[in-house]
Amino acid sequence: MANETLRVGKRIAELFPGVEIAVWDISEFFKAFQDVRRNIVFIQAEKDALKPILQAAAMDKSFKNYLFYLGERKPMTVNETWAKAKSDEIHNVAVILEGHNFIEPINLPGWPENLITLPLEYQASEIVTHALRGQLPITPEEAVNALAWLMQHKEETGTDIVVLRTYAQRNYQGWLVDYVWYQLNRGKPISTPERPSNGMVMKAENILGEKYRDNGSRVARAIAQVEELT
Amino acid sequence: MNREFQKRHDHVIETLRLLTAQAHKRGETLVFVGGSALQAALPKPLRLSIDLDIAYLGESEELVSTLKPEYAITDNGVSAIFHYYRADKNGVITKIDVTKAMPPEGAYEVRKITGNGQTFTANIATPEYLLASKLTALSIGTIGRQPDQELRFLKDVFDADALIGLGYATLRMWGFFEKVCEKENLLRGTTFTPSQVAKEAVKALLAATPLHSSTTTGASALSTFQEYLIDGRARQTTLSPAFIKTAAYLAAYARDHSKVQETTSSIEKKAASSLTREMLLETEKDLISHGADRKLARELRITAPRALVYYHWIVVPPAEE
Repeated sequence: MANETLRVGKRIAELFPGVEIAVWDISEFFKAFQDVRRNIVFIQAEKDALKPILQAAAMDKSFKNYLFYLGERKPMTVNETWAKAKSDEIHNVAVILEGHNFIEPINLPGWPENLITLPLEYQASEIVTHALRGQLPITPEEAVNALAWLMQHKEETGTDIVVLRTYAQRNYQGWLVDYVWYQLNRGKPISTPERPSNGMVMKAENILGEKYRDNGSRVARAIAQVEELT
Repeated sequence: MNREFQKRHDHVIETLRLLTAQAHKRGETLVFVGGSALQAALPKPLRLSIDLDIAYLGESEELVSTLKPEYAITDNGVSAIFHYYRADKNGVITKIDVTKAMPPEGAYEVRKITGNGQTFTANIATPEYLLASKLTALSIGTIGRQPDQELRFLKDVFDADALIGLGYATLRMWGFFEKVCEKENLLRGTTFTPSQVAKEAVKALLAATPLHSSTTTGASALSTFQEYLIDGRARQTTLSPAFIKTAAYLAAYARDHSKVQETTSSIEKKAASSLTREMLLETEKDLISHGADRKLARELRITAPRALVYYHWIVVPPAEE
């Protein structure tokens, strides 16, 4: 997460001590986005806090170079007119979305107690969820690309497929992760080059990885069938 | 800020200067009271006030007529308490409300007033007396305003909160509060006790807290109120703490007026302490279990956590804490 993102999170958390604020950005998997030119800060909180956060952020001088989107069905900004007039001064984009009661959120030492960030796996799934709802300045295609990129680069990024799959299931996207996993691993062994034959227990990721790939192949067949129909 | 209101605000001070000089010539006492006096009493005015309220024991008609011919004066009639005039100078209107109900002894003082590029001395009600008057005006259903006077109610809360913030909720102020209750009861032929007045004001404040859809403070009153503000914007979320805090002070008086100072200072200490999310969630939960307005509690926890502490104090009696 970029330092600037943490600054934004800390400020919002300070303004709303009674609300759990989740903050994160796309800096960790920026390469996955073809058409996104700058980092995007994501701020998530309970539904009733979204508009107050947007209003407070729009009025706060420390966010003068920010363009804020409120993640609603139709993305909007409160400071859109201002943004158009001073488009060369806008360096940052932030999106305020509904999201709370996260399982195992991360709160690091020195952070306000109500500020959290999300594991990378959660972030990718959240991007897909909100892009599909049309709430982001990111298309669903880009969001799915980012998810695939993260799964493809799981070693470098430290992505845990089991965590990703479990969280995605919570967002009704388990099938999507399975499908992408299947497409990325067609004909390949899962995770380790050889299946252990010496009686060692397979890593959970490997066992589940195979399960996900099987599920994914069924999804792929279903998709192919639909494509044939159309 | 509305430029037209700014002009009228400046005219209020100029008209006061002229009337004060005339009253002095006549050897009569004139005291500057009401919202404009309150703004003049603050270290820095917070909002525009376009009416001139004065207490004057002499003949008001004679006094106001001295503004002629520069001003065109219209007599707008009388009520039980006020004689209303309209003074028009080059199209800028000042409403002049004159009352014969003089503030009690010690409730006004001679002060320097600066405005419209001039400085002069005049009798002006003390901030304590002005706060006491504002608090009684909030008691809808007893001796306060009519329920349909939303904008005036909003201004009263805004002013009362500013004076409480400056430390004017003193014992002396509560003494004036009792005197204002007595005077208003006399004028209206009612017999409400100061405690009843305070309790009804608390109810009116909680019902009108401009947060959620069921509130009695509508968007149009809020929008008009913006025009009066000198700096910044008043939003529902920034005004709600003023409502709840004022209600907490009145609730403290209603509960036990002999301990009002200790009580309010203990509420202030609690509200000033550091607030954690866990503590605020607990407070919200406790409020709901005591039958508080669920939506108001949640919105205060989100947007005005310190006000949630005041609200908790109002709903949950300290003995039960």
